Amino acid sequence: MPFMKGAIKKDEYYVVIFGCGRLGSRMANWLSSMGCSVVIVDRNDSSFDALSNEFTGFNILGDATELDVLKEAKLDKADVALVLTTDDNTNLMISMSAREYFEVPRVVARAYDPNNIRMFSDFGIEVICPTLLAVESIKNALHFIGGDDK
Amino acid sequence: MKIVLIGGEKIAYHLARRFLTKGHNVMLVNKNERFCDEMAKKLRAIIVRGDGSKRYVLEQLELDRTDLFVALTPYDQDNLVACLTASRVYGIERPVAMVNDPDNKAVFEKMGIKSVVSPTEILGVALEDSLFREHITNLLPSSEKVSILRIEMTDKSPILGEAIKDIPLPDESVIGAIVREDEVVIPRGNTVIEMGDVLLVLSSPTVQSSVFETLLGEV
Repeated sequence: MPFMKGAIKKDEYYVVIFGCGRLGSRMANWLSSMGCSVVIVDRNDSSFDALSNEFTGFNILGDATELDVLKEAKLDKADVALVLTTDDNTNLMISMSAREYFEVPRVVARAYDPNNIRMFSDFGIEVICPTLLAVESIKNALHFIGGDDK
Repeated sequence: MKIVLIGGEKIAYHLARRFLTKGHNVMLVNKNERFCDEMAKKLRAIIVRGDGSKRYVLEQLELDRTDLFVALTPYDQDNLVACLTASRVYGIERPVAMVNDPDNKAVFEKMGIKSVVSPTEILGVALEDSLFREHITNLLPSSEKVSILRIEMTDKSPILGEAIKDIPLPDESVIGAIVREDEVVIPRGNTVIEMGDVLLVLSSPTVQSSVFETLLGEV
């Protein structure tokens, strides 16, 4: 599987996803269809409506800032944690627990504020920053402004 | 040195009052506008309105590494980020964090935040102590690794007249001494428990409740 480059090859990866919003639910559906074993955590019951019938994993209703919820999701067994809630601080705390407390080999988190990236990466967490991604895309779309024809 | 209190309404107010009367400089940081207005009227502290887990807010506080930095919001994630930013970006030596979920204490400590206070834990211990206060005193209430308990034998105790070796105490506990009518008896396997004995028991906190049950019956 391409996203596990560099990791130990396994038949089935165990992925825990935090936040079942637009991004989390899509990732959950896709990972399920790729044959991963997926658990998704959200504190709103109605969020799980976004999961499609491709999704074959489990959902856990709970606040992931409580350590017990992370234990219930069996984070200690996870190969990958995707931390995709809409709050940077919540994502930081979940990712750090995943990394330092549960020793998850790969932790990927979303950070909206570019100022927070450093803190995530200091702890060995891979960061996706939608703000920077959008900035790059828009810059590319406006490439003519610099006068350079690309 | 100044004292910087992030979030937490009542707690922050009363802590601020306490430190102000002792002559310290106090700074309150809070997201809530109404609270900030109220505090500005009541306290001679510097009030900053904003989210204290955000770098651009902490930037304005002119933090010095010797400042006492305390995060008191009702959200553990915000307290963690505020303290990490304070220590890593502004060099604060020992930020203090409040945790709402006592289990998160271990997580904070792994991240290098060594001063972690859990009000839930403190209240829990106080309540448990007061529940059993009549016959039990925890002589070392702040320790997490060992409990030293003082337990009085009442007429309801199920072990009266029994020899120590026959008492089914959990493995991680031991009766260290018995105070009997002002004399100290160092117990042996064949020492028999009498009514009115005061037992000094060493135990791991995890087996504390089964110690109570064994020695005092249903509690």
